[in-house]
Amino acid sequence: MRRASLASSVGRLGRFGLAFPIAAAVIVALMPWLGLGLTIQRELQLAAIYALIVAGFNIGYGYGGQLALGQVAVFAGGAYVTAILYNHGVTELTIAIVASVAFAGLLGLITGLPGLRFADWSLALVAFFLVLLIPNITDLLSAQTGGVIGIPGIQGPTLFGQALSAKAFYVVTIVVSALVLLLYRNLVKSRYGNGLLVLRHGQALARSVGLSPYRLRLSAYLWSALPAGLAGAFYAYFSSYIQAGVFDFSLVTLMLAASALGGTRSIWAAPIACAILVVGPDQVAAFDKYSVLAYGVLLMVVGVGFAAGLAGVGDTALARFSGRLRPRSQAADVASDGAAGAGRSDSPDPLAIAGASLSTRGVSKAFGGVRALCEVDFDARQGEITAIIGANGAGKTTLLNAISGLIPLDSGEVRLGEEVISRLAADRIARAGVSRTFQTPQVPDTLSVLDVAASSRISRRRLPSVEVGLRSPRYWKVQRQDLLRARAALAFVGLEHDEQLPAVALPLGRRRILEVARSIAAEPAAVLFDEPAAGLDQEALESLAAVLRKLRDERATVVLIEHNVRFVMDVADTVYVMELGSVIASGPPEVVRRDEAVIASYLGHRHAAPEGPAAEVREPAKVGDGD
Amino acid sequence: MATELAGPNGAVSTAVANVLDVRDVCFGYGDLIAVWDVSFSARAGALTAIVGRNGAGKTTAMMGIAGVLPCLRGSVALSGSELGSMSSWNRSLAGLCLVPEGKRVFRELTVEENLNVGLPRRISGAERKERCQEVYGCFPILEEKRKHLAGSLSGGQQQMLAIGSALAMRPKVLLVDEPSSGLAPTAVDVVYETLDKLKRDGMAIVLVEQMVEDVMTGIADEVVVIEQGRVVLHDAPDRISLKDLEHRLYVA
Amino acid sequence: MMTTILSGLSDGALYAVVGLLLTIPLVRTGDFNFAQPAYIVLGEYLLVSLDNHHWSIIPILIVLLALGGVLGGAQEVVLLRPTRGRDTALVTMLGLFIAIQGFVLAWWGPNPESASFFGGSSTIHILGGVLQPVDLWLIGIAVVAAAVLHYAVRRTRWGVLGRASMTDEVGAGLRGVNVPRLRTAAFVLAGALSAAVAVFIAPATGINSDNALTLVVFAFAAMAIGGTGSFGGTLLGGLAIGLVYSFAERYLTADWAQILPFVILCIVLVIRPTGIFGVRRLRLV
Repeated sequence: MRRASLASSVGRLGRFGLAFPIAAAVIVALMPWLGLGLTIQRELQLAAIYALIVAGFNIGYGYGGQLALGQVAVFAGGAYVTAILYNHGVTELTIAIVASVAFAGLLGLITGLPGLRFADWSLALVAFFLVLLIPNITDLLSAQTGGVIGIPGIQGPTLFGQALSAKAFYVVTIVVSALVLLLYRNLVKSRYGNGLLVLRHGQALARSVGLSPYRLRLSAYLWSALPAGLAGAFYAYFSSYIQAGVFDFSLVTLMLAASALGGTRSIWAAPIACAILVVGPDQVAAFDKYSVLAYGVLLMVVGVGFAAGLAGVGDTALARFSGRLRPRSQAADVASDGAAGAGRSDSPDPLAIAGASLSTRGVSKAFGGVRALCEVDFDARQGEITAIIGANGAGKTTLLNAISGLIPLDSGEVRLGEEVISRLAADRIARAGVSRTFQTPQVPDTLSVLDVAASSRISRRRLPSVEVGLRSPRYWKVQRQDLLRARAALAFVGLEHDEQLPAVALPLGRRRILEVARSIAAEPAAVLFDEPAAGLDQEALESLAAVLRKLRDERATVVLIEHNVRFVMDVADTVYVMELGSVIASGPPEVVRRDEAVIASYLGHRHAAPEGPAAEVREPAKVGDGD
Repeated sequence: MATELAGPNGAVSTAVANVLDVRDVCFGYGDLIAVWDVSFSARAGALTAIVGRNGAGKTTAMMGIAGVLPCLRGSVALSGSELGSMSSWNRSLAGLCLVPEGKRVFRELTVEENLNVGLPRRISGAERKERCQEVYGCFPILEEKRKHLAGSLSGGQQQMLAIGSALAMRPKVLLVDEPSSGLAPTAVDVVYETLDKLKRDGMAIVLVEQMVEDVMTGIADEVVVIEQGRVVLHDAPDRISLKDLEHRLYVA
Repeated sequence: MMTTILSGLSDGALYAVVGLLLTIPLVRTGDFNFAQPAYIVLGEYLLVSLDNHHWSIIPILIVLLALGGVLGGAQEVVLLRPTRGRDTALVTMLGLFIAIQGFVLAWWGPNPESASFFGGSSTIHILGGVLQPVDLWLIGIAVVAAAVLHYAVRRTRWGVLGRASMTDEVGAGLRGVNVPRLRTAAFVLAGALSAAVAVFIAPATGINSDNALTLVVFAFAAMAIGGTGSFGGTLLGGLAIGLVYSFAERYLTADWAQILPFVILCIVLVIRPTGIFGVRRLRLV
């Protein structure tokens, strides 16, 4: 009973959440008839135009982690395209929008592509350089762009052939902007946004849940550029005069400040922030002189102190209002009844986690001069827990990384069932059904427990981001399935009561178990555990052992890399012992523990290392490694 | 100032002033606590061996004592004065030097430059030379290779350099973390002989090892066994049977 | 022709100097201090004010050094330490860049200013080309600075400690190196020098708050093309850009003079991200 009312109240709040922005948009659109003066009308229109740019920037930066500072160049491009069309007699807004947006997409891809090769500062500086060059580029193309003078007198936009008055154009701007913002809000509050946050957390994590960083980044660039093109189209008719001098660094500054003020992960706060920054300097004369300084200070303060901006404040207020602090989980924002209630029946569908066998033959890998893996043969069967133990530097984690595709093999092959997966990309291997956990749980800090569990399902049933943004019927169906399976996975590991908590709020042991839930939510063929027992106390160890046994009983294929020998001897059906990259013993625990070579290896004995320049043989330092 | 050293049977012996006193320390990473309530001491002219399995918490303990990890509970005292939250650089300049595990040297610097990093700023050029000569005295091969990049040295030579760079700081207590790991037997012998000589010359040494046998035979004056982050055994080597120890570490 | 070459070298030297100063925190701390060129602009405006009060050059330099040093140190401690390695680090540094520009606008107003060079503005003839004293100074400073910094990093104790910290921060701490202080000191040094070098840059470029962006972008291009993390590379990269700019301005158009360096930058970044002589990529640490 309690569960039902929580779900429905969450659903209600979600509905409440969308009603607000829609109502606000309607009111703003009707402002001219409610006595709004021309000045404020134009300022609001400009704020809406800027909000489009900021929304695009936010999806690129707040979600994608990429500082898409070339937005202003794309904005300029869109404005010029519309202006040039006007010069050729085309005043139809729909055509101008399509052309500008298309050009924006192209420009966005071009300016974004380098980001695949170099990131951070290099990308930001190249974007700034481009903005600096806008006057030069328009000058070179002066035949079309009017050079330094620009294109004046852009007037009389038409919509479907009908001329638009200033007021009508205002309404069109507001309505279209609101719809686009809604689309973007849908995009970010969904599996697509979550996928971006996963990628932002780390490439290894993204790959291990089956997402291709390359494709995801590219789509993020596209999505972040398109609204800037649309904004440009509106801007051309709004300002009537397009000239290169307008598109300069101060516009970049404004965009950054609006994003910081509203919160880089919020879509709805963007128009509010833009309105403040557009109207503010005009209303407060003194502010105009200090506006740039204020923007700079704002960015510094937000950068150092408050990561969430306005939206964070709003979130906290809403949470206090609803009585519980929770992250913006997609489940909470889903206003649909069905999806919110999914998985709440008494007997959730059993997860299909019966696995396929996982085996390696002759796998070898060397780093520099040192052999990390030496002809490793290994078999894991379904319905069994197969463990790999060994001292540090033995190659356990290297083997795990090799199987999951994060490092390439020098030789040998890896099979999942009958399929050879050794030469595939890591995300492809994950989609084939190989799931893994990390010794330091990789949990994006803005996702809820339920979102994390569901994140492995993003790649399982792929949907074009457009469908996600438009909330197609197929999207709802897939969403329902995902939540069902994610909830079932959480219930399987015992985390079902925590589904709305921020995932990072869980203690270490439970975060590890959450990774298990994430792994099984995708109904994997094999699950690989990377030292899940490290640093856990007795109680947490017992919970972990219970989950592993439960998985085995459901006939999953479980592979366990561990240090904790006692734990392994307790749970495993088959144990492999590695030393210096080779398997030195394998078999049931009782047999392996008595093996002389294993005892000697475990207590430590002199490794005869060859003389020669020592290369880095250690696997990347992790928590607990090297003790 | 005599300190009482209590063995597990309650037998008490008095020891001379401890150079290093570690009392009930806890260290960890985030919410992963790796070391619980560990206590031991180190005296001048003696070697305390810390042994334990892989993952027992030995390296975390050393990093914590050296000041790299914050001390969540307990205290570390050097020559009687508590270090509190002193930074790792100040600890090493005060005389508490750690040779971390993994042959950790500055690969892109030469051998000579490596030794020079630790030397305090205010010493004369002559003293710098003197200190480097002391290190070369322990490890002659380093003098030969002094203009070579540390990354081009063999594993054994790198380990010697790692120890040497700590020695150049003239520490009061030297912490050495698994110096024999990944080394050829001949190199290990050199390292152990050097540690033995340093001990006999009066240095306090804390040696962390996985290789139980070596620390038991001869070199160690005191053995501390760590398992799952806690001290499970703390005694003089002649009071511990090797078989017992193996059993406790591996089976229990 | 010679004048084109000479003006290219002096422009290039200017960008090289800014780039060399940016390289200091880069090789000591791993940070790219985007705000540093704004220090130059701030110094330029201060120079004008002090000039108007008839201060002589040495006291001006002292004030600029002090101001830049304090600002740099404050930036590292207040802005960078809390954000280093996190995704808000860029935005925070951009914030300081913008704030300095905003301060300049609020205090001195939006009009461009000018300052004359303390060494005079006579015409110097070299090999058939013409130069001004400030141009010679800039070339000289760039070459000397590159040499001195290269030597310092490679051969002095100061350089050894910096390289050790960048290689292994924890290991350096274990060997007595106060890494946080080393980082702050790098920002103090680079900041002080940046404010002071305004004395040479102001006469060459004119004084305008918009210049900060041009400076940072072209200095970055110098570093990226010549080699990020390399002082010699940055010098060569700067000179190369200056020459390209100068020749393009003379034989093509002013627009191409700005665009060509950008094109070259993009090509180099794609083919060889560390630059021609580079040793480290421009990543956030």
